[in-house]
Formats: sequence, C-alpha cells, structure tokens
Amino acid sequence: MINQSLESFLGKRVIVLDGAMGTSLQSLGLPPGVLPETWNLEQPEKVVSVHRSYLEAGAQVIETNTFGANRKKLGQFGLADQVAAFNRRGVELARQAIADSGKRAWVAGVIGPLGELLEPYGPLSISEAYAAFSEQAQALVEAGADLILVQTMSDLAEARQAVLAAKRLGVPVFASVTFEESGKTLTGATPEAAVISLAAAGAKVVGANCSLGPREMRPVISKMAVLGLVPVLAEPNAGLPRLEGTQTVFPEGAAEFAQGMAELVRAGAAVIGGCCGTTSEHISRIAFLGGQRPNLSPRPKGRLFLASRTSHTVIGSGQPVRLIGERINPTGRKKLAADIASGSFKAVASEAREQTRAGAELLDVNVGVAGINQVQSMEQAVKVVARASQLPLVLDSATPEVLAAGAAVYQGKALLNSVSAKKASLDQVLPIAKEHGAAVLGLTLTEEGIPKTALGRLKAAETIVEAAIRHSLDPGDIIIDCLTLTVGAEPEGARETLEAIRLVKEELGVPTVLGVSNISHGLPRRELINRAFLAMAIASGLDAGILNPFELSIIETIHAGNLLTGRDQGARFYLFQYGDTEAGSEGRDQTGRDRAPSSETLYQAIVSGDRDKVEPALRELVAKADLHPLTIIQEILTPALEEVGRRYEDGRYFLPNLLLSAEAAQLAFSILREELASSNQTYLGKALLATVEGDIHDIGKNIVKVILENHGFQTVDLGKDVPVQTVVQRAQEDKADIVLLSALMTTTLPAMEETVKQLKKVLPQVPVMVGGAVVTRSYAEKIGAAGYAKDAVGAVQEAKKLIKTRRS
Amino acid sequence: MLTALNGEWTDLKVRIDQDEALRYLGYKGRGGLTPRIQELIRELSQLAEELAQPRGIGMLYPVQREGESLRVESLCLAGPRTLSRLGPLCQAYLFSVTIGEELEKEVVAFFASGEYTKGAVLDSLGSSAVESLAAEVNKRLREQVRREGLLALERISPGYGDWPLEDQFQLYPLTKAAEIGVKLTDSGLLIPRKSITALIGIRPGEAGGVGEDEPSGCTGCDLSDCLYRRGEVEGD
Repeated sequence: MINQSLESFLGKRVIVLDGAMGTSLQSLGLPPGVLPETWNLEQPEKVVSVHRSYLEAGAQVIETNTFGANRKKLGQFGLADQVAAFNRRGVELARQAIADSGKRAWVAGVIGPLGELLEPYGPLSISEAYAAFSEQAQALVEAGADLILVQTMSDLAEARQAVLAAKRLGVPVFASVTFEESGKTLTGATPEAAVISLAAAGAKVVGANCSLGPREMRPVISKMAVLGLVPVLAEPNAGLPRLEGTQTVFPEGAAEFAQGMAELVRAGAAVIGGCCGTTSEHISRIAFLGGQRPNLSPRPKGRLFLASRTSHTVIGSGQPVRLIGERINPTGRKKLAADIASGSFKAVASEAREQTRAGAELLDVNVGVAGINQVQSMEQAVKVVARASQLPLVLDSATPEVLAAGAAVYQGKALLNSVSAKKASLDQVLPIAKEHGAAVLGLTLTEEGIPKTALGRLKAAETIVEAAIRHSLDPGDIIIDCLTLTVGAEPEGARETLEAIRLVKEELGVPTVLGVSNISHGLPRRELINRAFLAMAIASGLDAGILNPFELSIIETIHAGNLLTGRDQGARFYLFQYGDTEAGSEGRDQTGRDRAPSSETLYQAIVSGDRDKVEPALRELVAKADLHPLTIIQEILTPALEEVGRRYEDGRYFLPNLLLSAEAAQLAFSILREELASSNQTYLGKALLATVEGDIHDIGKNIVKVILENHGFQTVDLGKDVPVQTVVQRAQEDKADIVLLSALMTTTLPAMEETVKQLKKVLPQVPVMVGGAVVTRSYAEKIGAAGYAKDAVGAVQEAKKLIKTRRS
Repeated sequence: MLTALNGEWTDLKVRIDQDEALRYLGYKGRGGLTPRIQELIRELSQLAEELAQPRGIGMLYPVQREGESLRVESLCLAGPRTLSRLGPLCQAYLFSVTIGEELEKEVVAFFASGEYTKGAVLDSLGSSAVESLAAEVNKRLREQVRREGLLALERISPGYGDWPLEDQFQLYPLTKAAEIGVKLTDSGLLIPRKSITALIGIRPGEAGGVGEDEPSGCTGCDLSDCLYRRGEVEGD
C-alpha cells in the first residue's frame, strides 16, 4: 500500500497494529538470550508465520522483526556490520507474509532503543544516537517500509533522535514511549512532554507501549489525547507482567484485553495494537475496533506547547500568564558574563536552579558575551541548564547560528528567541525551527525598524505567521512579542504596544509574550512602572512575560492578573498562594477580631518566625496595653501558632518555617512565664516522649516536643533508645497524661509494639501515640496505639483530641 | 584490574546539593522558602562541609545465580523488584560511606540550645552530604569499570523497594564498614547515623543503567505519598 492512503486514514479511522513478535517467536522455540532478529536470517519461515497469524487476525499494520537491529545492540554480538541486512530482511519477510496472505496491510519498520542512555546521564552522545538511528531507518525505508515505528523508548531524548533521524526519509514516523506504573517514564518524563516533544520532532503519531496493561495505560493515553496535537497510539502488554517461578506471565486473555482496548479507544487512542504477551488471538479480538472513528480531542487554538526532556509548559488561551525567567543573560552583569566567558557555567546553573525555585515556568538562555564563541557557549549553557532545571527552555540570541547550536543539543521542544519580520531573519531562523522541532518567538520588527503603530506591528506579526506556514511550520508554534520601547522616549509607545497585543490575539489567534522591563528604561522607580505596565498588558491579553522571578511585586502582579482575567479558575492558585495572609495584614485573624498594632507586630513575628521582633513587641504590650500574660497567650500567641499550623498543613510552610515560628513562640513563652507567678501556669497535660529501644533517631521526636510545648503541653523527654521498662516506669512516676513514641526504621518497629503493649498493660488509662517515618495509621491501629500522626502539627492535634476524650 | 577497587577510597569530598537538602526538609515547588531560610541553608552548608569527615570503603564480589535469586557471599537478593532493577549481574560492589559523628553532635547541640531550625536544617544537610559521598563512589566506580567494558548500575540499599532492611546484617560486614568506623547496632542501624551501606550491580556493558544525576531512587518506589519523594516540575 502506498503512504498517502495511510496518512489519509490517520485520525479518521482507528488503525489496528499487530501484537508481540518476541513472545511469539519464543513460543516457536527462540531460546532465551538469542536475538530475535537473528531469525530473520536463520529461521525466516517462522518470522513469516508470526506475521501471517497477525494478518489473518485482522492487523492493518504489521511490525517488522527489527526492534534491536541497530548498530549498538547488534554490536554486542559482533554483528555491527549486519545492520542493513537484518533490517532489509525484516521488511522483506513482512512483505512476503502480506503477499502470501493476499491481504492488504502496511509494513511498519520497527526501531527500538539503543540500550544505552544518552548524555549527560549515559555514555551515548546525541550524534552517535542519531547516526545509529539514521542507519537503521534508512535500511528499513530503502527495503520498502511504509512507515517507521519508534518503540518502547523510556528516554525522550533518545526517542527524539530516532524521530529526527527517521523523519527525513519521507515516510510517516510513529513514536511510542514506555511508561511505568507511576505514569512517567523511567527517566521521569510525563505523557504530555512525550507528545509535545516527539510531535515537534516530526512524529505523526505519538503514544505508549509495553510496561503496562490496557487498564494501567488509560490515564497515560488520556493525558496524551486531550492535548489534541497528534493521533495517539496504544500498544499495551497483555496486562501487568507477573513473575511465576522463572517465567514472566502476562495475565490478560484476549477477551479481557479487548475490553481494555475498547476503553483505550474511548479515552482517545487512534492507533492500537499489542505489546508483550499479546498473540494473534488478542489482535483478532480488537480488529473490530479498526473501522471506528477515533475519539479525537479538538486541535487547540492559540496555545503554544513546549517541553523539556521530562516536563512541559503550555502558553496561551485559558492558561495562566507564564513567567519566563530572564536572569540567564549576561547583559550588564559582569559576574555572569565572566562565568560564561570562562566556560565555568556555575553561575548559569545556579541562576537556573534559583529561578526554578522562585516560580519561573520557562527559562530564557542568553550567552551574549562579546568576544567569545557564542555557538559553543550556547551548546554548553543549554546542557548545563537542562541539567539544573526541568523547565523548558527559551533559547535567546540574535545570531541564527547560535540558535541552531542550542536547538541541536536541546533534548526537548525549545522556543527560539527570536525571529523578526525581516526577510533575512525569517529565511534563516524558520528552517532551524523546522529542522529541530522548535517553536519560534516572533518580534514585530521590520526592515524599517519597529512600526510606530499597533496596526504596523500587527502587519509585521502577520508577515511572520505567513512565512512560518510557508516554511511548513505549525502556526501553533509561534508566539509574538509586540515589543516595548521606553515610555520616557516614546510617550505613545506603551499604548500602541498594548493595542498591538490585543490585535495580534484577536486577528491572528496566536499567543503573545513581552519583555516588560524595557518600558521603564531611564526612569526612576522602574519597578513601579514595570508592575503597572505588566498589569495593563495582562488585561490586553498577554500570555507570557520575560521577567525577573525574584521581584516579588512582579510575581504578585501576575497572580492577581491571572485571577482578574479569568486565567485562575476558581481562584485556586491565588488562594493556595496567599490564603488568608491578606486578612492578617489588615490586622485581623481568622476569627475577624481586631488587634492593636503592637499585638499585630507580635502576631506577625510569630507567624513569620522573626525572633528578634518578639521581645520588643512583647515588652511594649505588657507595658503599654497592660495586657495580662494569659491574655497575650490566648489572644495572640495561640492564634499565631494556629495560623502557622494551617500554613504548614496546606503546603505553604515547611519544616524550617514551622521551627522558626516555634523558636519565636518559645521565646515569647519564656518571657511571659517570668511575668506569671508559677502557680498560675496551667498546662493542657503532661506528655512523655521517647524514641523506642534500639532506635537512635530523635530529630523528629525533638521537633514534636517543641511544638507540643508551644501548644500548651508540659513535656518529659526520655531521649532515644529508651528501654521498654524505662518508658513504663517513667510514665507512672511522672504521671503522664499521654505517651508519644517514635521509631524511624522498620527494624525498630517491634520495640515500638512491645512498648505499646506493656504500657497498655500497666497504664491502660494513658493514651499512647506513635509516629515516625515508617509508621502508618494502619500500623498504629494494628499494634493498639490510641493515636497516630504523620508530622508535628498533626501530633499536636491528635494529642489534644486524645487528652480531651480522656478527660470527658 | 578491578580488584584495585577493594579497600578504602581516598580524597572523597562531600558536595552538598542544597536542592536535595530542601527536599529532605519537605520543600516542594514554590512557597515558604524565605530569604532568611535560604541564608540559613547557605550558612549551614558551609558548616556541614567543615564538619564532615568523609570516608568510604568497599569490596568487589562475584555474583551467583541461585534459581530466581542472586547471591553475593552470605547475602541473598530475592525481591522481584530488586531483581528486575539489577537484571543479570556479573559482580557486585558492596560499599559503605560516612561523614563521621561531628555533624550530628552539632545537631544535638543546636537542639539542646533551642535552635531547632538550625538543628533540623543541619541534619538534612548531613543527609545530603552522605548521599553525595555515595553518589561520588557510584560515579567513580562507573568510570573505573567502564574501562573494562562493564557497566555499573545505580546503587541500592536495604530498605529500597522490596530489599528488606534486615539484610543490613549480611551487607554490613561485606562492605568492611567497620574499618572506616561505622558500627551496626543490634537493631540494624548504622552509627554514625549519617552513614550509608549499599550495593552497586555490575553487568556487561549493554547499559540500561541510570546515570548519576538521574532521579531514579523514587520512580520505582511504591510509597507514592512519601514526604521525601523527589518532586517534579510540572508545567501545566
């Protein structure tokens, strides 16, 4: 069959591939440890018979027995010079089977992984991988394969090289990745990143195969299909493999498999087949799905998809305004320039890490230092940044060769920054994007400079989009920068930029981006102008900003802007980020009570963990407001600590934040206790803490102790490695109201169980709580502990509850 | 010859990965990481590097296949997950690293004086420090065996996946950890606490192994809601 007909089927009808080759050959006597491909030459009739069985079962595409027929794998058997022969024979046998059967089917030339990991994680260089894939793909296509099927890839970097090598040969390329039960590949890549990266590299179909059964594969397929970028392929195993004796067993029979496959088609799979453990019987049961219309998601409009080796970012309609970190740029930064010029790239790596941590969603990489070899520096910088951060990259240079160098070594789908509407720029940059599967950032800059009016900039943007289509780039792979001049020099400029953003979005439907800080050049209070202009640009429809992620006011403007323009559905992100801090800054706690200014200072000092501010605020309160220490505890310290606990629980605070607050609170308590007559001190109860016998880890227990004290418990700490009898004896002597036991390792859990048992025997009325890294609630219940908590904040709540139940 | 790998490593240096330490402290994604805490981490990283007394030792052993399981001297590896992770091995390198006791003494001192934040942060930096030593040994071993056409896999330790913690009792003596001052308690814990014993599988160089920086430790683990699970950057 000819290629055109395959491509005309794609996405319109479900296409059925065949099932396993390796498993089938094994059942025909292929001994373990022998390369299945050797049978192409030694037992060709058996390979043909497997193909025949699939054709008769109704497969529309049969897959050649060439999975491992690449230079690297064959090389291990001393067969590196046989690549062409194995692949040619593989295609011939498939063709022969089709001819013998009298059926119509396409032949997919199968390419599997090379068996070595790509740099920087493994020994294989990009060019070596590309060469090995080229060699195999060429042999397959020359022998007459109708398409290339890249299969069972667990590293997107490697899969990309296979697709890039195969796509030049004029046949459609399908690419399939293998996901673990976690929903990611072994190297940590998401299904979305796979589709974005491989479709950009030129795959007509992207999907998943192997590792999982149809049911486990469903979430992966859904995530891929919903992007609507390319038809999605699904070739699962016959269920999750189990080891029975020395045999790997695939549990799903044909009927069960077919049911799972029907669900996968509903979830969006448009090309289906089977991997390990599937037989012609499995395929015959799914053949009926072949005629169906696939459940395709609509192709997204106005969205740009970018991906790194493992994760992805979407820019455009309905998405939050994305923050592109601008810091990896040596302009005006001497240290960074020196770091790049020296070839060290340490500062570059740390900028990448810190911007990622600060909340950047993409990283701009610019190595524009005068007098250095920027081509080489860009290559190095891309490698260093890709190692330091999982964010997708924006490669930034005015020189096309530098962009090309970066795009060639980047193992994902990058954004090239930039192309302009000038002919020379379009002619040079667009082919680079096409070749390396990258997207482009278009500047509205013409031969005459930056058009003064919004309409002029729209025209420039149009020129870019049209040129991109002429270079057969996907118009979805363009984002437009309407450019900003400093408002000091060009008073009308800001308005024109804002209007241009609106026009480009409306007329061309492409997303927009802006380097915001240019607007304030030469003006005082630059940050004020930047912030206001950013807010206005967001209102005009801006989709991404090239900004400094360390500027809090900028980040806050984006968050508020997302909320106000409907880009933050249900205010979920905004509330997560800010929660009730706004209420706090207006001098109210969650109960809505007003507090005096100095009590507000104390409250904030505890919440933010600022120990230095505690004492002055407290002294002032006692002196001026004449508040009773107990009132201060009840009305300020307790609500502040509760707020800290809330923030910890909903993931805005982490252990160090919790502890800084605890230190501040403890200082406050110790000062107040001096003021209180000792008889006046009341406690919620006395808590006895111990790390169980045999265990020497007490950091967690120490933390629980501090937090308990802050929440009004008196504590007795027995330390670590405490014998069972000591715990029981001290609990009696000290009249503990509650006992808390900690264990970190599975090997010390028996000691925990024994301690709980003895305590219950001797002191049945005293509740026992347990915790520690390996302890779970169900384990706590199993050993008869009354309470369990997974962290210090949980422990306080649980302890309060247990004491209350005990007293009532 | 590979037997040159038997014995103590020289010039081991800790390289603290602050991101890793942040993960031990629970940080995932944005929020909470105030300038003050960042400063604290920077300052204590320096202290941790000063306090660390890095040592490492290991031995190379042949691996025997026994039915479905693998045997290294008295140590028997039988968990299906562990076995699938290792694949067919020819040798195993059993080793131990430690940063000594000074850092943990300092942690105790911090807690005793009420400086809990510093104590907890230094403790997590200590974990990151000893992890970096193990990574360094893994990397050096990989380089050495590659010259012999062999591939060293990513290290694993008892407690990873389905390798029971109890196997520490067999693993510990084989690593010669005692020679670098690492003790094993009756309950199977290592002292100093910031010590690691581990196994690196070595197989013929067909690869498939995961590289040194790969976040491999967590992807194969069932504890999906673990506090220390490596976070991922999600774009959308």
